[in-house]
Amino acid sequence: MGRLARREALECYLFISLAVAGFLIFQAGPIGVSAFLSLTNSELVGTPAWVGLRNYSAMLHDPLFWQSLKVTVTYAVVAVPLGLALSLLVALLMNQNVRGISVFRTVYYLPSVISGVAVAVLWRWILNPEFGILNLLLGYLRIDGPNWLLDRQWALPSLILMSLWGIGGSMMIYLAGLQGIPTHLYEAVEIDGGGMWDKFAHVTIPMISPVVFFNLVTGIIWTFQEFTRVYVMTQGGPSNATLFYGLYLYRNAFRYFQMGYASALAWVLLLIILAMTLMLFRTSQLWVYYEGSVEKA
Amino acid sequence: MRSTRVTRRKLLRLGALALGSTALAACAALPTGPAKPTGEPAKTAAETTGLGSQPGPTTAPGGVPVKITFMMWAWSPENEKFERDRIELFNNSQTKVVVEPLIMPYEDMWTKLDVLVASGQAPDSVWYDYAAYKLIAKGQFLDLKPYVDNAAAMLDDSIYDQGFWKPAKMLGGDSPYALPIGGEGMNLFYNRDLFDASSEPYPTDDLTWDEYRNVAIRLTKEEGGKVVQFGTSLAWLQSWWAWVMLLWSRGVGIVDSHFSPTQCTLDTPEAIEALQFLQDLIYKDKVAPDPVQASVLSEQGGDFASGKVATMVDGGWDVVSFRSIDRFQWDIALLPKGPKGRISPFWIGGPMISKQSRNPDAAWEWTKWTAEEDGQAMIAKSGQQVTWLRKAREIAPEGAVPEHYSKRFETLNDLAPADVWSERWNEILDKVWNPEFDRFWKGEITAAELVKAIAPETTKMLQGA
Repeated sequence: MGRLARREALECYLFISLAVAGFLIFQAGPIGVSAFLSLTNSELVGTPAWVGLRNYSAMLHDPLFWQSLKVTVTYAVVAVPLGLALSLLVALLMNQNVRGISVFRTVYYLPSVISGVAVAVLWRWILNPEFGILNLLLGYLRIDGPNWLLDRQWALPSLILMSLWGIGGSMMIYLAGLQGIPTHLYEAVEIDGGGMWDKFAHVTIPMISPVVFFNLVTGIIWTFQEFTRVYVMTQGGPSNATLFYGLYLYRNAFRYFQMGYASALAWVLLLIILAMTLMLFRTSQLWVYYEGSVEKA
Repeated sequence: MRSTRVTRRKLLRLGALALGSTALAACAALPTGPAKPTGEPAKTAAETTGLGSQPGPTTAPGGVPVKITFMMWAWSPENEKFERDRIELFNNSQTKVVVEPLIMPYEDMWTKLDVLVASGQAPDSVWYDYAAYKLIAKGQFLDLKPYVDNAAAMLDDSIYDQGFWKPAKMLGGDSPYALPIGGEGMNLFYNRDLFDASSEPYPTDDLTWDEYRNVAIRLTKEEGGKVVQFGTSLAWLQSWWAWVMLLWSRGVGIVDSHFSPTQCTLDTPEAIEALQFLQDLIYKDKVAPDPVQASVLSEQGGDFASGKVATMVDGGWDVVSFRSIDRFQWDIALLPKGPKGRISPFWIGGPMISKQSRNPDAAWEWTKWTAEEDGQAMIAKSGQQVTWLRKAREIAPEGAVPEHYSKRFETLNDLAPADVWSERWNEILDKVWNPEFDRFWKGEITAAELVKAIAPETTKMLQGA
């Protein structure tokens, strides 16, 4: 290795050293300890005893583990694609060259920066079965609105609906992607006699597919870790209809003091997220187009 | 001669050790062991012989005051100010101990406390709440008996209400783990204007639960097929720790013992009848709001504060928050009676001392002060709780109080601790009770069906299954 290369390598290590040290000190340690705790009967205080894989096998017979998994997966399967589609739609609208567009962009982005609890209070009003604006609007359509958060069937859809409040963040990422598409590609479609749909299907979608992929992966990860919204809004009720995985994990750790079991739940969650992310990366070869990448023969 | 040279290997070992220790501390999952106290509590505890503030003999090397941390939650900015004022008053009243507050929102506080205890950094003093029970059961707080035994006045019923001790001895023995400096029971709150408008006499001490229902029926008003005024609201009575009063008034309870429960006793005819009585107020008599109607009232300032509810069983603590009501006149009465009398659920509040504290004697000085004249006067003036010190109950709270404010004290003549001290209680509530009670309060199942669904499973879990 030449002198310059050694210097570059040294600088590289220097630059990443803080991040690596931060990870080792604040994350690797707890991650390792939680893996250990998941094999014990730790109750937070006191000396934990080794139980092997008992915490993991206990999950198989724990109905609330399956309930929390079902709720979280349902939420992810519906909320993520819905959020992706809606934020793309809004981004397309915000990408138009009209007067005052920056005001519209700010308006659509603003909700995503409002804090969780304030949003929760606002949505409690919106979803109130008696005087909420949602049921009022449904009433104009002669639809008798449900009891939303108080109803077992509607509580989870309510939270899915509420999740759309934060589409402003992914809208901005889409917008950046849309603005990076060269206009000559659209002109080529026009020359070929293509219309709006052709432009969207054959230029816009392939060109922003890396952005869709990014939003999809991060969306899946975030939804599997959903906690604050449900903690404030429903506390897992009614009758466990909104018992998210993260909430069940928290309860085991800090309400029941079953830190060993909670650690095992955390590791299973990590494995689920890891598996889903790997699966998405595998399938991405089929539908994500990276400009400048070399296609395999 | 031994070499003291630091070799590269030694340095790496030290580095690895430091990194490992930091990581373990950061994860806050394994205890590093409690800090050794500076002395035996019984030997150094101050003796309280009177009611005046008497800072004890805590020593501070070199005359430097001993610093202790006190962890407490606050519901509101006013509440936080009260805590800070209380601490300031103590800090200014003596020179040996300085209390440093650690005040945070309720939920955050208990999660943080768990982590601090697990990492061996527990605060010296922590305000008691049921949420601390698990840590108490795991030996993380000091038995205050050696201190209390040296404070004769605290054991004198003419000075301190001895009824307050029971919930402070939550492990069932004779050892208190919190000093019960304030307590609270429940009362019947009523809207005088609505009673006057219907020429209904105000509730008396002889009111029974059946008569309470009749009053509620008479005071419920409908307009156009819609209830515009409710005779009552269940509100807290939908929480087990409140509706348990109806079971007690019929001579039954929810568990065989609140201190070491092994059996759920909800499956008695009296208990089922009491629960059905409450559900009927909503769906049969239609005198109390259902969950949807209650959600509307809650957005109008709360059930009672909305002015559309004539009576409501509520904690004495709301005497303070209801002072802001200026749209109508209200008052409080004793709870209704049942065939076996009247018993109010009861809770206490007060400081505990962490087993990890390096300065337990200093923490006791602070704890003791909160029970003495100055500390108790602050509580009385704020109206936040009923004071443990009987004499302080003569001090009127600042601001307006209802005409029969003394009923807040009277309700404590017949009390029982409401909490169930079992390490699995929260788990039982989350996994067994809450899902079924959600259905019960929505009128989907009857009291008999509810009890059938939860009683056997509760007993099984109490017995460790």
